[in-house]
Amino acid sequence: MPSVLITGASDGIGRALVECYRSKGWTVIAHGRRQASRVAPQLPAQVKYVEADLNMPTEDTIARVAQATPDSLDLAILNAGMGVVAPPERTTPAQINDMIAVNTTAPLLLAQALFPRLQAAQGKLTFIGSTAARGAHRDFAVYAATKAALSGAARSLRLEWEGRVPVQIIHPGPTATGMHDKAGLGDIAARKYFTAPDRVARAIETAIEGDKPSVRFGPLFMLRHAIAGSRT
Amino acid sequence: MTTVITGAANGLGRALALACIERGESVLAIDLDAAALAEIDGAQPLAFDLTAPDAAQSIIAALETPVACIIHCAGISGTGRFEDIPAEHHARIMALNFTAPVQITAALLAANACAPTAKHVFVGSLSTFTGYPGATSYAASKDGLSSFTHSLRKSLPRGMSSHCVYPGPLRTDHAARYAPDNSEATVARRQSPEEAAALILTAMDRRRRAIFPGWKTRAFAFAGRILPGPVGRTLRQSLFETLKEPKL
Repeated sequence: MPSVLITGASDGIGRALVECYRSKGWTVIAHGRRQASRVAPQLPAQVKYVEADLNMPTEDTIARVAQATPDSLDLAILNAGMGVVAPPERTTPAQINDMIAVNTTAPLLLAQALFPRLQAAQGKLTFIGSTAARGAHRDFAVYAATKAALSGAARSLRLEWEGRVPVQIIHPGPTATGMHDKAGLGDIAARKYFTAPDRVARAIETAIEGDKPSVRFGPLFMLRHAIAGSRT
Repeated sequence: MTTVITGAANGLGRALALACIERGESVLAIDLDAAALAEIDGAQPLAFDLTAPDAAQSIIAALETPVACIIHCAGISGTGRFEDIPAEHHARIMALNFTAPVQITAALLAANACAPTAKHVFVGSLSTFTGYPGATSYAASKDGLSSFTHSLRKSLPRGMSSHCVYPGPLRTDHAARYAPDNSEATVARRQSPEEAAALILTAMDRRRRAIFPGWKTRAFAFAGRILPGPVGRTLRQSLFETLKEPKL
């Protein structure tokens, strides 16, 4: 059975991705920040869980996640991310450090640590970006910058690893996950239209099967799924 | 009013510092290299590591007057195969090139340390338009800055502005350290830091948001935008495939 590492799998899109790949019979290694004992009951059986705090992406932390995966890894979905909704001057130094560490530095270092395993399986690397990576965003300037940085990393790394390990980046739009509560986004009306995580996860799975280097789930995607969601 | 320049000891930062002093501005020159800072006549030197947790507070403490302009010029690169560059060097590139300018900007704004018309100037890279195989983490850090510049503009108080400079390879120690090809012919073709600094200051005076020092950089950015595929492949051949050992 093929194997996949999914980071940020204790909630939201990551957890929905675990369900997706588990139901296809893949060997799933799920990474999360929460304690294994608290997450394990919610994960499908046979999913291996590795706990690591990526806001301090030290050598040990990165190695722990990489070593939880098989020597030959077919797919890595680097999905873990965090955001804070506030203009820069109201974002604390710790929040800035955490966003850059979790959203940019950690996926870069994980990509590096996973490279031999992915190469051994002729596997694929998929970063999860954000539609915020493009454009200007008043209230999440730092978050958008971390995703733009990840997007830039994917572009250059794809050129470097061409013919060795394909690199892809997928940019989901606003999704109905716990991230926005943690980010401090209020109860705004637009949240009604945020796409459900299982829909986003299935779209990610489809995008991974294709070979487009960069995929954006734009407003049309959101609209289509909002309509489909309201019918069910 | 103070002009703050980080990475002022060498290359573009030094050229910018000297040009600003020439214009009569009072310059706070920041760098790790205290000895090189001491050689810049007329600047207030401040030598410390911008990746230290209290970096922003050190700058605020050193300010005698509000910031009229801050140019975030300090930056390092690392060229080579992504997987061969040590992880801690990738992390250091992110910390100095990306985290430090964002932290400093947030802290200066939070502390009200800026003049009402302050300019926040970030030094990005042409790689934002072309990609940079062989310097993946450097390209990532500069793309982060470019995005931050655009977003910051939306939350800055009226009167303040943010700018991103997209320089190409310059005739500096930075380029000499990281470029795959340092043959005399290639080095001679590079723009001098003094010329780039003059063009940057003129563009800042005109409040240009995206600053391309010289027509060559503008043309290169344009090419990268309209022909990402061919430009990417060309860079892969000319930069990435000629790199041997990592240069840190």
